[in-house]
Amino acid sequence: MRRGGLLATFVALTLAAAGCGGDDGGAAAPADPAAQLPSGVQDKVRAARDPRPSEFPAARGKTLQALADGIGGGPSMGLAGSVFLAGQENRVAFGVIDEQAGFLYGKTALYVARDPGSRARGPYVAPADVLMTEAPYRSQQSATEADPFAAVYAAQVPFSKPGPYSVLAVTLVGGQPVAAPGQLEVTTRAKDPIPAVGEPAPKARTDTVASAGGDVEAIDTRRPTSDMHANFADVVGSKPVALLFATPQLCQSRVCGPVVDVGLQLRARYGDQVEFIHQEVYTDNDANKGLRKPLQEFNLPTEPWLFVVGEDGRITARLEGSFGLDAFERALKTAL
Amino acid sequence: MTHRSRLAVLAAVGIAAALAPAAAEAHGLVQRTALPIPEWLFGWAAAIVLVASFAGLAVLWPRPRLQQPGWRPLPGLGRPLASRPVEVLCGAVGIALLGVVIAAGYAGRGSALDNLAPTFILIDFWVGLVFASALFGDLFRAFSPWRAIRLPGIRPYPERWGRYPAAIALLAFTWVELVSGWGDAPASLTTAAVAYTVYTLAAQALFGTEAWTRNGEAFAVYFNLFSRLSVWETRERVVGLRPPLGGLPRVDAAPGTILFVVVMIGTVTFDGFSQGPFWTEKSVDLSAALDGLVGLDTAPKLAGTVGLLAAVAAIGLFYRIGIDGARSVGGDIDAAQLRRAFIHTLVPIAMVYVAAHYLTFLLFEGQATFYLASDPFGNGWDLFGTASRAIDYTYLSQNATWYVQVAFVVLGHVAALVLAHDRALGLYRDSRLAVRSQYWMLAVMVGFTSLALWLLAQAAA
Repeated sequence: MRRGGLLATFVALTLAAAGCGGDDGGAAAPADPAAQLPSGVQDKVRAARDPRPSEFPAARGKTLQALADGIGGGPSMGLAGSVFLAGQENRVAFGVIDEQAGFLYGKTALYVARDPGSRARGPYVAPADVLMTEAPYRSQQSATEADPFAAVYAAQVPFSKPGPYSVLAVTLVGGQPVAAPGQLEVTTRAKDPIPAVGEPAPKARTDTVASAGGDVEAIDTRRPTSDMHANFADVVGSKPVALLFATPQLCQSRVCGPVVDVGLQLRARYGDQVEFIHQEVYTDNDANKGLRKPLQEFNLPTEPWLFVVGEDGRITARLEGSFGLDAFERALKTAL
Repeated sequence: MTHRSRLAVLAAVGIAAALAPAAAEAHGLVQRTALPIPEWLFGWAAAIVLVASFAGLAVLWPRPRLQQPGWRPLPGLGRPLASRPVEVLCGAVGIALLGVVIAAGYAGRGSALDNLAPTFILIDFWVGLVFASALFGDLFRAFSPWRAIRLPGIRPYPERWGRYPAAIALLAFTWVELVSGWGDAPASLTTAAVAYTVYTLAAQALFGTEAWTRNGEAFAVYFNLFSRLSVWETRERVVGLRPPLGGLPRVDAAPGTILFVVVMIGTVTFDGFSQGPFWTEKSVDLSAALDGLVGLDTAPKLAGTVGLLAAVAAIGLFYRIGIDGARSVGGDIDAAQLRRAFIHTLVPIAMVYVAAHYLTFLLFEGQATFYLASDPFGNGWDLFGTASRAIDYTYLSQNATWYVQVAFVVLGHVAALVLAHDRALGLYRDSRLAVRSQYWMLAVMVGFTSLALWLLAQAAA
């Protein structure tokens, strides 16, 4: 009778687990990604996820310099990308760093102009995209970061012409705006050697555990290592692929973010539909030895990059720099 | 100190000088720059502690004390703790845990990061229970889900099999853990657990639960050996206390016991070795050489299998050489008898190999149990309010970890020396012969200490 009871409990647990297995057999989408953040920044990031244009100063024909002078400065801006194209909308991702070198979180928008003396365009709202994952997907690198990059801002900005642009990030801190200036370079699509959305993805042979002779640490600087190491060339064309070029240990910027962790969390939800592949960046994991071959095949000058490739082998989305759960998930959905 | 004792100390110093620092120095140990003393000095210090312990034992431990250790019942709780209802309850808990882990392995999320099964099997069970056994006694005997199912058996267990089935199963488990890659695939690991459950229950049905638990069930034998380090022992359904280490001299050296203990040490040795630069370079070469024969996917596993078996063979050979050396000092005990007589002295070494090598694995990755147990099936549950509790990697620094690991290694090898010395006193009629035989055991211990420190250095290099 006792064993019968145990068996019944076991069967019930199994059925409950199977019955409540979540959609797509994976993790449910987090209702509030900000809940994953340290309590000190939770509310700020939560608010920063939903900025509205009306909450920011209107440009009203002012120059970018005049706008900045009227707001007051202090923080600085760290751009999380470098490739921007003329004639289309671009994702401009960035972090705002305060005078104590900590990350600043609040409702944020971006203004742009050809130079500080030109008329400003904006505000382009830049919702905060949470970078910190749920506990199981947090790497040792992320977990031991003294001041983790909790969320990245990203605005969709159209650039009409190539050339240098001045940008101004405005963040509301305690209801008051503070401004952080920056600069970026816009190029033409013709001069962009990186495979674009709509183009076929190069059939790069990405590193696998087998190709590394079983030494997974040779092809993955994340700790603990992940298991996202299929060969892109074997998979592309047969199912959607999320190909992530990133180096968790050797990232050289404060704003590259834990994108592999983000990929792991989203794989729990989309892993049945999409093959997730992580490709390390530097040969022998040594920044002095140059880029690994798959990055060269994609003509990547920076990292991290995400390419989402549809079942037909064509790129459906590409993201440069830091990207959080929202941006990554939106990119994935372009291939589904 | 007698003349012979002084000679013993001098000989021991010579052996230590030949073995320990060279091994430690060879790799400059690990990338820790802030230690107050150089790391190679730890190798010397460990060797000196062993030599001093050896000398102290030669002088201050003239009669065997652990061969017939005392035991006294635990007042008040001794009988209830070992009572039948508690045993049934613990067995039921074990069965329930196995059920939850199997269910989680199949129904939970698909990666090792967010599925309870790999963390529970490879960290909580495989590593955590080693520490728990050494501290609190044979807990696994109480909680074993397989032993909880009592079957009488239909034929006697073949005595000549001894513990060989357990040794082979242990080797197979470590292959699954270290070579197969199934640890990253919850469903595969769970299938291995189910297969082992079926195999164990079938063996119990054939030979009876008690006989199989004592001889063939790998984990029962494994945790029982570690539990003999503890002061807790159950006799005739009463939990009692015995001297520390007092359980080990009474290990019956059934056939296969030597292989079992050698597998215990050899597999951890391979795990440490495989994380170092030497093996990672060689395994890539070996995999490349095997690629043409078995294919790119299988070659690394075959290389790992070769490495695993080689490590076990190397440990066995090292023990054999030490015993042959002890045999060479004289006496009328043959080498096979000596190998059986001293095998229990390697158990503290196996313990500290596990403790030192997997300490951070248990302390850090083991914390994953908190959030995984709260949501075992990946449904978004938060049963214990710990689903969002992340791993805290900061509460034990790298340097503190190193100190603890070195302390484990030294203590374990001193314990092994004590056991070997005590056994020699009981084995040899002439106490001087007993001490002389231990020169070789000292060499074995210093060798294992050096190997342990070198492996730790390799893993951190």
